[in-house]
Amino acid sequence: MLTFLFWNVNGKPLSDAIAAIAHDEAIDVLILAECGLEPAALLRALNREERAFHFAPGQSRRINIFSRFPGRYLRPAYESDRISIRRLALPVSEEVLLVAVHFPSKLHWSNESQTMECAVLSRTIADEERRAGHSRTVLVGDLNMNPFESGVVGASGLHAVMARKVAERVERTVQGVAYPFFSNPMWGHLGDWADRPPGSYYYERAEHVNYFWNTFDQVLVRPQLMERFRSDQVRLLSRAGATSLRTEDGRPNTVDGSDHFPLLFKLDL
Amino acid sequence: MTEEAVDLWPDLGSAKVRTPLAILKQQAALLGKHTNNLLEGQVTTQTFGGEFHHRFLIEATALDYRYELFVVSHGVKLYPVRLESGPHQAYYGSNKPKFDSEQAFVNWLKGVLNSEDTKRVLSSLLSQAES
Repeated sequence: MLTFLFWNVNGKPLSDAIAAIAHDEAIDVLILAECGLEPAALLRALNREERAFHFAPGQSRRINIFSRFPGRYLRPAYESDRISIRRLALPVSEEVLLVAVHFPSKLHWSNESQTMECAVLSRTIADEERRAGHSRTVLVGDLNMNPFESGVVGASGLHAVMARKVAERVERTVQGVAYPFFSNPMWGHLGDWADRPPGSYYYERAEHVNYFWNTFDQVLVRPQLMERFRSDQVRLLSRAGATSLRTEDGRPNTVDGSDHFPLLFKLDL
Repeated sequence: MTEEAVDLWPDLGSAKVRTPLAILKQQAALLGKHTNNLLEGQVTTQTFGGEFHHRFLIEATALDYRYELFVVSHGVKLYPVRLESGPHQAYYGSNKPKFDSEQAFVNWLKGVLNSEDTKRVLSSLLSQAES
């Protein structure tokens, strides 16, 4: 079983918090967006107690990946400044494509642009799946969109659906073109009807439609990988060791943490 | 008696303006020559509602690896060309850099291909491909 953590740390030097989570949650693969730390500095923090972590280098400057195994097992296949697609190939395991993403925020891009970007990403993923010869793909990152937005759910976008039964159909044909599905477990993490953060990012504006809590940080799984995905283990974390990542009113603690909560998930590999 | 067809089209002739795609493809082809084909340039195009988006990729075939250096876009009129993302800068907001002419686009492209960041990527990939 591999445990993954994704965290948009908003450029803050959160080495102690990251290391605390990596230790407490036994993280195997650590994916950071907007990491303001040099990899060497973060490795020192991660390996303070035990020399367990390696840096898995790549060309993307906005996404850094560390793991408990050598970086050669997380070989980069496609990268840009906002995407890193890695081929995760451990001995005695089937290869998995790990797609780490950091999309532009709504401060800079319109909803239409974000939707178009999802279409671009979808094609990129499909290209890499063709090269890899399989579709055992997991996507994780800060999409800066909610699970219900058109770029995430649209067929020509990420086509990420809320129901596993639907995703198990593998693909859907629209206007004569077949589009593969992702399954999106984050639908089950909207709101605070269970004891957990209501979303991963809080934003309040004085306008008619405002969700307050957004689930921008998401993990999506291809149906080909769903049997290995532990859907009961997806969590937005609100603690890093002794440090609360939440303020008293439940919002992200931007003093000791980031404006995003970390996202944890597990794969049986 | 049949009427002769009247040709109402203008004299289309040969295009005097180099398209942004032609410029990018030319540079993509030259990268292979400079690196003994260890690295190759690629340009992929997608269309969104009348806008053409071109992605310039650096491919290291020996590593089975592709790096997207930048994305530019333009409409049917070819120029201005707008910079959508990259190089080495993830996104632009509403003030996307734009290049109003072929010369302006070529000047920008020369700067990008010779930038320290691009050289860093090329050097890193070449080292890995050669090892």
